[in-house]
Amino acid sequence: MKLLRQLSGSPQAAIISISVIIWVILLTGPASLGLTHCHVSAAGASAESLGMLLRMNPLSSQLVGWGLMVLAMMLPKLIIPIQTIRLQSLKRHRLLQSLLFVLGYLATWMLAGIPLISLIIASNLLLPLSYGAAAVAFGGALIWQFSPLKQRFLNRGHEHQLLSAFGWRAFQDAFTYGFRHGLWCVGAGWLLMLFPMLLPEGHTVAMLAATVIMLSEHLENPRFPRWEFNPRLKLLRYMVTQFKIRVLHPGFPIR
Amino acid sequence: MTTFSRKNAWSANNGGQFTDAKGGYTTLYWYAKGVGVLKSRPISDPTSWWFYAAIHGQYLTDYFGTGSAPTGYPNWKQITSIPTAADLDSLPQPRQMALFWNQCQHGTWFFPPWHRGYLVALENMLRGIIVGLGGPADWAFPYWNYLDQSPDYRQNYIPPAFMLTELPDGSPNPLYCPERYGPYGNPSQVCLVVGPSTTTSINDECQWDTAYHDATTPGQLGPGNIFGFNYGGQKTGFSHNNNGFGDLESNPHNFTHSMVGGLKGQEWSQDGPITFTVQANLPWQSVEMNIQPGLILWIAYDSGKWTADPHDNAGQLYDANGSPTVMVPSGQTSYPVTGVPMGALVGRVNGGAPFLIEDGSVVPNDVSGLLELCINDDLTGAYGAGLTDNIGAITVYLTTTPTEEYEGLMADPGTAGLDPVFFLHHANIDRMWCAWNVTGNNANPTDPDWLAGPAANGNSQFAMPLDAAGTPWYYTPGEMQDTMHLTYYNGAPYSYTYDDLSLTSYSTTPPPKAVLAQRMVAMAAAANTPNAMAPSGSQQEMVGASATSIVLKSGTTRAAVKFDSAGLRTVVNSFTNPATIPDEMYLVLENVTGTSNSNILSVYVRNKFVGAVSLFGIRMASMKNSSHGGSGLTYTFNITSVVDELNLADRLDVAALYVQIRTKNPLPKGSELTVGRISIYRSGQ
Repeated sequence: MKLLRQLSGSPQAAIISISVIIWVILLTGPASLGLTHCHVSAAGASAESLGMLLRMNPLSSQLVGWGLMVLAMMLPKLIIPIQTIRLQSLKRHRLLQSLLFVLGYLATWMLAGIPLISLIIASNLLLPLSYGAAAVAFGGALIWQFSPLKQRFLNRGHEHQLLSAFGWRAFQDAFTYGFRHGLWCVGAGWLLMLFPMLLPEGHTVAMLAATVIMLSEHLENPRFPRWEFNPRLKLLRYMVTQFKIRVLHPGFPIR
Repeated sequence: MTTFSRKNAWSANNGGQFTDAKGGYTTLYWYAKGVGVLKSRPISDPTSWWFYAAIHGQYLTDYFGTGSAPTGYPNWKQITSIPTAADLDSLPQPRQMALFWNQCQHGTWFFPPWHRGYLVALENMLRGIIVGLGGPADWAFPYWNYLDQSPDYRQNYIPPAFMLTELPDGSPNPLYCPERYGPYGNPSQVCLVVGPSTTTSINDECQWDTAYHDATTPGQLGPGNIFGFNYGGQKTGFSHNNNGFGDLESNPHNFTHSMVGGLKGQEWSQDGPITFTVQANLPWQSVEMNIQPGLILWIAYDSGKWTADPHDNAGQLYDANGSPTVMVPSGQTSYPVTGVPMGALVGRVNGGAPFLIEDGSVVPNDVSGLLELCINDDLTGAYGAGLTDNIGAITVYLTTTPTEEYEGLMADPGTAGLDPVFFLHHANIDRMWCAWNVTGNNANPTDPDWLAGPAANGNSQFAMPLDAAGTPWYYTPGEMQDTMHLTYYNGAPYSYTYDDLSLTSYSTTPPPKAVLAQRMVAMAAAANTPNAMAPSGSQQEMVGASATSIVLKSGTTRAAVKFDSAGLRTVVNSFTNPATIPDEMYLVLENVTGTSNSNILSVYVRNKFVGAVSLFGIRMASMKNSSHGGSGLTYTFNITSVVDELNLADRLDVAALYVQIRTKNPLPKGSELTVGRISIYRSGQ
């Protein structure tokens, strides 16, 4: 309850705290949540292998792990839309509407999770302990990264939906805003999410890297969609500049 | 080091002329000569007029959301006054466009410093050219102080040098811009309507602000706020929000853009505007005009006063908007339209259902027949004297609505920099900021995020090209704080001042809102609680809202803003409990989208005017892939006094407030204006 009160009072602090807690669970909790048991079949792709794989990694726990991973990685990205929702909502509905927004957002990623997890299982069956699938995903992510379609999804992520103020519509709007926001986010980042999951090892580090990339690219201002090499390093630029103006030369303009 | 002096474009230029009393050339003349040289260069040259205009904003490439430049207006190729020498087909190098174009900072706390650097860069380039042409070595931008009240000149008019088509030597005048239509849609009357903020006018009430910005992100509504987010704008974080207008930017800056640009009036009508006088004491009066299905006819109030009841409104006559105090009850069907102000202008076509016109409306065009107009009164005398005691008459004009290509260049950030008067307007805005610092003794932000500029949040630095190779000068707001000690390219010092640093030119006494804000600062200081001036998110609360997506029509659109009962109780308590400071109340037009940049919206709550906003920049802010993400613009009005009046009249306990939004101009054909939501917020202590 204390946490919920905190979420109601200071969403930024609460969101980051929740994200950190989930990261800790993912890094230190049951390994099945992190899908590290996936690479079990040395006997090739077969019904038995699939059965064994699913016994060791039940689909339900894989989906829970997937959901937790989405929340850990994406919650900080939701601070700005949640701030917008809070400003627009009746005071007593702020928390519930924020939660519905997150729920709608998570719903999109869970739906996307079904084909993506299937892909991960298939890759573990067909290419156990191989970097091949991860390499393909990485290549795809690179191409996707600089495509106009990806930029279009990122741009749409900047849309601020106005919510109805009263009645059930207010809650429905919060949920659909989250769902739509999730759609743009899945569109922009599905390959970046897939890549760490396909790695036979080191996928935690890759997940952290993908988180930073995704946070950074969502902070970038909308741009004209076209093919272009754009590393979208806004988060890095922000951190370097803040270090300069607040630590190295506090109060002084930078060059 | 030379300290350059920027001087008044009217009084220091022999009344805004090219020659002084002795026949010598004025600063304006040399400005024209310099602009002429820049205009002769192609757009691919970073030192051309066209390139510099595109630094502010442009419609040549990257038409947000569509994947290409617009084929019609506002593509620059459709602007006939741009000469072929501009060679718009040969664009600059992509890296130059990416670095320099579309930089203008609006709706953010960087608005004043970015524009200062923009002017400094162009001023230096122009001075170099002017000296080369034999002009003065100390040339500096003149400024157009449209608010100057000195009796010698009517300075709210554009300086005459901008209206001439030729220079004294008979060559074309580079300062002349035919796409400049003024507040009345009349190119020969390019001026600004000056008045207090209780009217749809420009003024310098913003100069009475005492805080540059609100330190919170997202910005909060607060008592220091007169029109928007304090003087300089809302603190801008990672992303460009859509509601961060500072008071300086809202008025006079935005209004000046909309009014100077304007919408070309003559083109609104097929055969010129038709005027018609409607008598208050007569029932339906035929305009003798046949309405055809599909015809878009705009009726606008022009002049005159009338009344439907001489005992109403303390005996004062009123205009086409009708009585400010009496609404026609819904049951009284002898009135043409019920539930609207008594005495408003109404119309009907072919004897059909009456419609409300007030000070402007498009005639319904789904039926054909004769158009008739009359006053909204008890036409048959069913409830009393009827029309017999009515007094006065009003005159209206009737025109067909325009198309967007008749909007002036100054009205849109993507075309404004093409008009040479842009830089005199911004020199004046810069002068006001300087006076606010120097004479008003007000401080700029000390927040490193402001001093370092957008780069502090990972965004692009401000950059201006200095030469034909596109050598960039990067600058920060911290370097633009003090006109006497600026930092120019390679750290070189640069210094200028103004010949007039009066804090205000028009609004010589603080507006009531500023007085209240100052009183609250004093109260907070007396109570040793400085934080009382910094409302937090929990102190700010939405207490009422309309439905979403309200499509505005030409003229008046009405909407009910429903109160939340719990929120209203909090508000009522704050106004009635003598132990508490009353809440500040705000009406917010959220996410307004559309293309009608030159329009001005006037907002009324229960028929009481609460404020007006210019829609300068609405087109760009409504584009899907723009920095606003297509969310449009958000405008805030302080309605504390209206709520207080309702409270004193014991009428605050209402389910909803009725809000009217009026467009100044008709909406061009195919142009929509939508308000995402009208909301009421309280900001408590």
